[in-house]
Amino acid sequence: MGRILGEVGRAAIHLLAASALAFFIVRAMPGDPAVLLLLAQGQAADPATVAALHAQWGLDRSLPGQYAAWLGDFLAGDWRTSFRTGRPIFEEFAARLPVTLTVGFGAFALALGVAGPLAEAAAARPHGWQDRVLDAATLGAQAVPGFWLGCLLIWVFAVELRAIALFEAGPQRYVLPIAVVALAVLGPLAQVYRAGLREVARSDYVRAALARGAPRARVVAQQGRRYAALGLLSTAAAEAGTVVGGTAVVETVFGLPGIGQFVVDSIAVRDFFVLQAFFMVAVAWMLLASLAARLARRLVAPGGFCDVAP
Amino acid sequence: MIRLLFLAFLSFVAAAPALAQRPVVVGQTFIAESLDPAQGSAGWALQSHGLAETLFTVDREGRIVPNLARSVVRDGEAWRIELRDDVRFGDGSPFDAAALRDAFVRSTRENPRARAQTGHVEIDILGAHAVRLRTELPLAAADSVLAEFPLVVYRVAGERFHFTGPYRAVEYRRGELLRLEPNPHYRVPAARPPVVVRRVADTQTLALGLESGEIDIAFNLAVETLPRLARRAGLSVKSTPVAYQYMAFLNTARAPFDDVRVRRAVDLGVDRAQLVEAVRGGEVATGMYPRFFPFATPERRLTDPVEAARLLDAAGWIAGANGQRFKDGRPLEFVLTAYPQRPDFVTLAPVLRAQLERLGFRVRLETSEAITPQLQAKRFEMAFWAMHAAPGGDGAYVLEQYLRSQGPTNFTGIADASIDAALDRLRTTDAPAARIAAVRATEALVFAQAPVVYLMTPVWHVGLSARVADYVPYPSDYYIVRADLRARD
Repeated sequence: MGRILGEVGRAAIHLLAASALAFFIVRAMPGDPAVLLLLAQGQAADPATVAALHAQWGLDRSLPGQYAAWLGDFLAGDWRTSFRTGRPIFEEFAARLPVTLTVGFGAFALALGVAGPLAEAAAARPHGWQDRVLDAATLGAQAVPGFWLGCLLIWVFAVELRAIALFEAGPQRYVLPIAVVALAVLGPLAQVYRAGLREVARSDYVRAALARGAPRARVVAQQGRRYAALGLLSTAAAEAGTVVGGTAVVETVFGLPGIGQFVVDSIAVRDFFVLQAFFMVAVAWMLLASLAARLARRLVAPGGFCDVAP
Repeated sequence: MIRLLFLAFLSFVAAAPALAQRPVVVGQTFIAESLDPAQGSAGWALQSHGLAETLFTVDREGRIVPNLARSVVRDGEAWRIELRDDVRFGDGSPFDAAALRDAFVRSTRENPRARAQTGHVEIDILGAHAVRLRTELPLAAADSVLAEFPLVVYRVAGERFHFTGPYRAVEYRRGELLRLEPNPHYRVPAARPPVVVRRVADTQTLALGLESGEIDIAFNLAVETLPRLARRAGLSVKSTPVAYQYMAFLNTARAPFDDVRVRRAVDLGVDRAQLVEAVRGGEVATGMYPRFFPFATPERRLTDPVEAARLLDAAGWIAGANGQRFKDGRPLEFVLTAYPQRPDFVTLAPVLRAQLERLGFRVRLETSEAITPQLQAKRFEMAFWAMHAAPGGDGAYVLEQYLRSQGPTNFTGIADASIDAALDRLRTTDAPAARIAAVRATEALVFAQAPVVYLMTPVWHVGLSARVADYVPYPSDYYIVRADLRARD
């Protein structure tokens, strides 16, 4: 119980620090949102209109006053309204969240599903084709921009093969975006998992098992999974940001109305409250992912691993 | 056999209405953020989508013409507006003076942007289709203000908004699509196809959507996609000059552009025809406005490197052996800022640099992800800029905004008493012909001070499927879905 309270307390402190960071980083961005918005819409940025917008948005108060008011409202569930759309930000996020989560979790699940078997096969047969595929996939994901890959997939599957309707509603609309994001996540997950398995393979007890005539692939998989899973969990927690923050490019390329695209549009006009809310959501999500990873590590290895170093 | 033929006939008959109902899909980079025209800039998008209309509008030639109003005339300190009597909202209810009052009062109360030109408004009902409009701020050209999107006409019924345009909304998915059906109460009946407006933020995807057959009208395609589209059978691309003029601001508070002779030398040193060639389309600028606007200065901006060199010599910038100019040991140099949100500027920057370096300038290029804040803070020397030159169809607006000494977006820092005086005269000039002359006279004063180098009028490329090959784009994105939209089905 005490441990849980400690975790919650730490998370609360992190969130509070993040809120201050979010507020002051966003406010340090150059440009007045009222002027930017008016100019973007071809309207007069005269002082009276700018002042009216500042008053409407509460930007005419002192910065500490604005921060305190915003934080109080945010914690009470009032995330304010978007400068750009004039609608409550919570509603905007809630409407877009399913799209982003579908792509993010779908990609994560796909990457995890592929990373495990691929890494095990690669670890069991160093320099085998699975090992090379994994290296190539990792390198490719790092070298090829998601934007380019997305356009290429659309061209092949929607234009040339006509196998996928690009804009038609339904699950098939998410296939290509999920594949693009999954490829970016796959590399780090599989690499770490493979490294963990190889480390185990070099351990004394695995060598002993091999000496007794057990098949290498089975020994590595059976003995190494739990240990390698620890590294995988840490990496998965670090990569979890993809679910809420890594989908903006594919949302733009595939025309998906998710949070990422909404935030990108908001940056252009310095939609302060949207950016601050997004920052908070992202931090909260990362804290949650980190907490889940720590709990999972305790389940996987309650006593820890101290005896596998070669 | 006969039975089979009969069945085939029946299935054809059954399928025919479905085929006729296939919507025209319009792909574009923006979509209304709300169906409430008093929120943000929704009025603009709703007008572009064929839903909302204004009392006056801007025609293809850039003239302000009556739309839902028949006329507007000065009535002392107020304006008397006569409305059409044959207009109905999408729900069938009539558009009349009371409806206009409700819409305008609500918009100006709830949307500060609607108050930008008018302040708060009061509307007296003079008859079923006549009102007197009083505005908190004085108006010089009421028809222009009444053509602007914050003052679109609508009716609120519970949670729904009804408009007078040729279409009405049947489905709206925020940030994604808007499904439209023809408005059966529109004043000009015609066989209009249903429409789906789909937001496609990326222009590459837009072109791919056109190629895959999922988009019929792809609005504002990227230039680099055009050769590929030209090879696709059944597709066509129409390119049209638009009202978003390309220019470059000179910071008059910083050397070397604090000297009017240097600014004029830059203006004369630019070969605009080369710029047009570099971005594969457009027209050489004549000034602030595209040439199709009636108040645009008709003559193209001159290129005269000899006169430019003479001005630089007179300003004390003397060319050395390698052509580079110096004054008191300082090189004649500046930074030219482009921004990636307008890819054309990234293309134009090296061309412009080459032209000005031939005159003896040394030009360093930079790109800025946030050009507007940089201009606001006056942290630039020469910077590209694109804007709609006459959003309400009146030339005074951008001059007031950008070139009056205390103008809210006077990025160049120009402070010239003669320009301010000319703008004062423009404020009190009512007659259309006199306003055209006054705009041109003001622009001539701007040319003499050269705080802005007008470059070119760009073209926008609209991709069309065979179904809508007859579609003719307007010279702006204000009117994309229109009453004259037809599909070959």
